[in-house]
Amino acid sequence: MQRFGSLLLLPGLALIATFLVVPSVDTLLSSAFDPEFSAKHFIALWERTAYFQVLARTITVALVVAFLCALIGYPIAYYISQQPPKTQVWLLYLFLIPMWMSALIRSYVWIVLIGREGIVNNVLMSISLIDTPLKMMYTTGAVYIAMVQIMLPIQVFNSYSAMKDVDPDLIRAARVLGARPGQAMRRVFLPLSIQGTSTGAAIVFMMSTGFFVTPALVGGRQDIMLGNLITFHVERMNPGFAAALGIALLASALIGVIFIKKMGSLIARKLV
Amino acid sequence: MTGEIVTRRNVVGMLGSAAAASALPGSVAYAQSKGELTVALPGGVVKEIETELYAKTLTAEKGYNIKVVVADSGVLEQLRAQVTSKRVIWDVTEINSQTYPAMDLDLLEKIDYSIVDPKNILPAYAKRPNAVLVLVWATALTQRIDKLPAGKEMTSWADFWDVKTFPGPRAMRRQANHNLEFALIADGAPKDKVYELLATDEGVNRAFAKMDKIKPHINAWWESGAQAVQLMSDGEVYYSPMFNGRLQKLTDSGIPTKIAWAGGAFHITYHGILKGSKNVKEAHEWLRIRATNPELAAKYVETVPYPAAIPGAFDKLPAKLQALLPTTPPNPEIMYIADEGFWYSARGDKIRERFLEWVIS
Repeated sequence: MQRFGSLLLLPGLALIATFLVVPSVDTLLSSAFDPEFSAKHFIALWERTAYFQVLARTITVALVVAFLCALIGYPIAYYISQQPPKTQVWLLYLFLIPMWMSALIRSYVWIVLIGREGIVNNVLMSISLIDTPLKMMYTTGAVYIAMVQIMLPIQVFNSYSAMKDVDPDLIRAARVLGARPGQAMRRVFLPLSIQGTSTGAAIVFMMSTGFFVTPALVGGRQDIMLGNLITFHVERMNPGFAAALGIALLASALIGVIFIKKMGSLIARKLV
Repeated sequence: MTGEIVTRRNVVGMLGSAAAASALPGSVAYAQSKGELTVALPGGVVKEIETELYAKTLTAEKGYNIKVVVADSGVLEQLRAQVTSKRVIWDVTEINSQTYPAMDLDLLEKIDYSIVDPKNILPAYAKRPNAVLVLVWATALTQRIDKLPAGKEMTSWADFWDVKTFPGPRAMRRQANHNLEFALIADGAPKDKVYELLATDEGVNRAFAKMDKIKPHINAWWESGAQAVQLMSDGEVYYSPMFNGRLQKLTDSGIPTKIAWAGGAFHITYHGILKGSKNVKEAHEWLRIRATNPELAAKYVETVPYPAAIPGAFDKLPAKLQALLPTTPPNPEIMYIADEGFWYSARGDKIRERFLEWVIS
C-alpha cells in the first residue's frame, strides 16, 4: 500500500523533472557556457549598472507588493475566518472571481479609474477640489496599486487557511487565564497564524519578481522590470546573457524568500 | 534487460518510421500535383487579411495547399533554430524590425527575380538579394486635433518639442530606436544625416541632450502599438509618435487625429524564403503575388494602410485613404528611411544600453 502511494507521485515528479528541473539546469548551463565555460555574461551584468538598477527595482517592487498584500490581506482573512461557515464560503468566492480575469484586463481597468480623464479626476474636478488633473496613472504608485489588487487574493487565501488551523480553544484558554482580548490576539493567535501570512508573502513576492506586463501598462518611465529585459535579450538572440539575467533574478528571489520567512519567524517569536 | 529496452526502442522506432512512410507517399503525390506552402506571419489583422487576399488567390490560381501560421514573438530565434537544425517548418516569413538580422545571417534563400518580378515593375530599393518588399509602414508624429491650441497644428518634430506653443501631455515609445532620430531632426539635423550623426559620439550626445529637454513632458512611455492607441483615445496624452496603421481605428471610434509625416520613420517590411525550404518554387509564387499584384495591394490598404511598392497601384483609391499611406507623395520624400540594421549593430546596442540608463534615471 505504501509503495502504491509513492507510485502515485510519479506523474507529478515526471512533470516537475521535465518542465522545471531540466529547463532550470539548461538556463544555468547556458548562462555559464558559451560554448566553453566562461563568466563573461555575469561580468557583463556586473559592468552594466543599468541592469543592476533594474534588478534592484524589480526586487524592491516585489518586496513592497508582498508587504502591502500581507498588511491588507491579514485583517481581511481574519474577518472572513470569524464569519459563520456559509458566509465564509461566499466571501472567499468573492475573492476568487477577480482571479478568473486576465491580469491584463485588471491592469487596464485602472486607466478608467485613475487616468488623466478617469473617474477619480473627473469627480475631483467637478467638485472643484482640483483644477488640473492629478497624475496617478503611469507612476510607480499605480504599479503598486495594480499589482496589490492582482496579488491580494493569493495572500488572503494563504492567511485564511492558516487561521482556520488555529484551535479556537487556545484563544479561549488565554482569555480564561486572564489575557485581555488584544493580548490573546497578539500573543496567541498572531504567532500561530503568521506563518501562513509569511508563506503567502513569499509566494506573492516570487510571483511579483516575474511580473512585467502590469508595470509596463500602468507604470512610469522608470518602471522597467528585469522580465522586460530578459524578453528583449531572448528576442535579440542573446540567450546566454538572458539566462544570466534569469539566474541573477532567481538568486535574488531566493534570498528574498528566505528573508521574508525569517521575518515571519522573528515576528512570531517576538510576540510570544 | 538492456537488450530488451533496445528492442523496444527499435519497435517504437520502426512504428514511427512506418507511420512516416505511410504518410509520406501521400504528401509527396500531393506536392507533385498541387504544392504545399507554409507562411508565418505576425498575428492579428495582418494575418487575417493576408490569408483572405493572398493565400486564397494563390490557391485559386495554382491549387496550392497554403497554411498561414502565427509567429509573433521570438521569431528570429525560431527562424534560426529551424534553418540550423535543417528542420524547416515555415517556407516564407516576414522580415521586419524583429527579424531584420536574418537577411545578413544567411538564413534565407536567394530570390530569383525572374519569377518574382518578371515585368520588372518594382523599384530597386524593394529588391534585396534574399528578401522582397511587401509593405511599408511609418512611425510618425500623431496629434489629437480636438486638443490643439486654436488655429495651430503640429507639422514637425520641432513642434513636438515646443511645449510653450503646444502645451499638453505627450508620450513616446520606451526605446532608443527612432526616438533619437526624431530628437536629432527636432534639433535641426537634416533627415538624411541622422545615421551619420548617430555614428559619432557627438551626434549621440546631441540626441540625448535634446531628449533631456522633452523628458519632463513625457507623461507615458508606451511599449506596444495598442498601448499608444489607448493613450490617445483616453486623452491620457495628446501627442505621440505612432504607427500609421493604428490611426484608422482611432478615427473610426470618433477620435480625431492627424499625422505630421515630416521627419517620420519610413519602415520597410520584406518577405523571405527560409534556407532549406522544400517548397522554394511555391514560395517564389507567393512572393510574386504578394509583392507585385496591384489589385490585391489596393484591396489590402483598404483594411490596413501598409502599402506595397507597386507603382500606380493606389492612384484610384479615395483621397482620405491615400492620406493615411506613407507612400503617398510627398510623404516618402519628407520622411527618413529607418535603418533597422543600425539598431542591430554593436553600436546600436551600446546606444540602447545608454537609453536604458537614461530612461530609468
